[in-house]
Amino acid sequence: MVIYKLLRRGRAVNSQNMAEGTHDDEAPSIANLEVMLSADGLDPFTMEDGDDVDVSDGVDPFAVVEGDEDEVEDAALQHAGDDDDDDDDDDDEGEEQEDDEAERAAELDNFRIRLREKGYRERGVDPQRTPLVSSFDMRGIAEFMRGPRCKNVIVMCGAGISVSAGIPDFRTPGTGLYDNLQKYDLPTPQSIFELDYFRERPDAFYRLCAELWPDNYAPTPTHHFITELHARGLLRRCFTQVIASDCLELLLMASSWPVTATDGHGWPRMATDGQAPSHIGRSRAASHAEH
Amino acid sequence: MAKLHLTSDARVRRLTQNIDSLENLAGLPAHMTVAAHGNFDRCSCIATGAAVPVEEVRAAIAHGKHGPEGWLAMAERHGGLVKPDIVFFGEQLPERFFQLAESDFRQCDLLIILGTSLKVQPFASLIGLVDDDVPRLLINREKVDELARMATDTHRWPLVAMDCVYCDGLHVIACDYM
Repeated sequence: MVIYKLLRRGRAVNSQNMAEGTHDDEAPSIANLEVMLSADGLDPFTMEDGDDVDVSDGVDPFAVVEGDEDEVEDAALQHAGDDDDDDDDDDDEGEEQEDDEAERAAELDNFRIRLREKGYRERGVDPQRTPLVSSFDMRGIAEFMRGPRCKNVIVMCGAGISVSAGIPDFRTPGTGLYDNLQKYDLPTPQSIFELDYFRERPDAFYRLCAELWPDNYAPTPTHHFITELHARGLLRRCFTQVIASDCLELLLMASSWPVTATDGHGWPRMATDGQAPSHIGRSRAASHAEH
Repeated sequence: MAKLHLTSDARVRRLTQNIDSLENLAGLPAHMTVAAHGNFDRCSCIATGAAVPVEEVRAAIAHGKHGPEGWLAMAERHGGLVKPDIVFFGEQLPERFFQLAESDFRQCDLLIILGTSLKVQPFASLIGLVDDDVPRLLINREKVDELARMATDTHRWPLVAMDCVYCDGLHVIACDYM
């Protein structure tokens, strides 16, 4: 829940809004996020868009493992079976494609299971031990963050954290930087960040620099989230790949949510859910004061 | 309250500002971040390594190639091409990255990975440095390439994608413990 509340959907909140304390008005429904989560049943295991993941290419996942084959295959069959019942579509091709995808997803699941088993064995870890998170989802993570075990959070971030501020990332097809370098006539998109190429043709990088050096971006909710972690004494460090100066500056200057907009416990109040997450706000600061 | 002061100045800062009703809280101090791939805040000459003021570089780049204020003239002044200290392919990452990765990840209780497809090493391999039990949450708009994920992770166990949700244009794809 913490993360739902802090990583909010929608446009970046600019500093002017923050100063006026009006950003709550524009807050999109956090409840929507939960609805999306449960209703769509979004399942990353399902390779719905024909991901070109090929486990057989380059890596032989099965060579290193002597796991329990039967169990894994059963799971795979089950998985494939589930998908078959879905529709009464006459389109054979479509069904075949779905079968393929289901198969691939199952294969990937197998790979994952085997790799995990290998990990357990090699590290001498008991797979039956109790996990630190109560559930493997955002709720579980948020609960863990409120608990006493979570003192040092490390954040690793990439260009994706600034996309909603209008700064392109590198690899998103279409909008990413690497897809928009045609005008520089490079041998490969990455050449623009290669030292040898720079020595030879500094022009391209300098022109890109002029573009990458813009001003006046507003921090995104993600920047605020990271700063908020720090304000709560939870952040150990933020490792960032972000290079554009403004991205980093955003992070440095991104102040936490204004106090007027918090729920009385320090967490930003969401306009839509109406419920102050009292358990969240109290857990760290207040419980510490009590002890 | 006295005890609070001893425990964490960040927490105290937050509390006192709550009390004072300040409009804005402190931003993230520079020491809390590690710019693994450098940034545009500093510039240096690639031949001599000497630092060059950012303003000068920025002005020269804005001016273009030629002329006394252009970047060609700047290169002549400094004995070589000047570029911002962002890490190019093939260049070494800052020393600070390796030092802090070593000490920080050993102490990590929760790893949150935001907006990265984990394609660039050695940054991506950091995710394998945390202890076995540490929960790792990955939030990214797109699925992170399975192989890239596993390649960084074979000595541990893989990140397990748990759920998907859109927030702030980011996509939650994986939230693991396994």
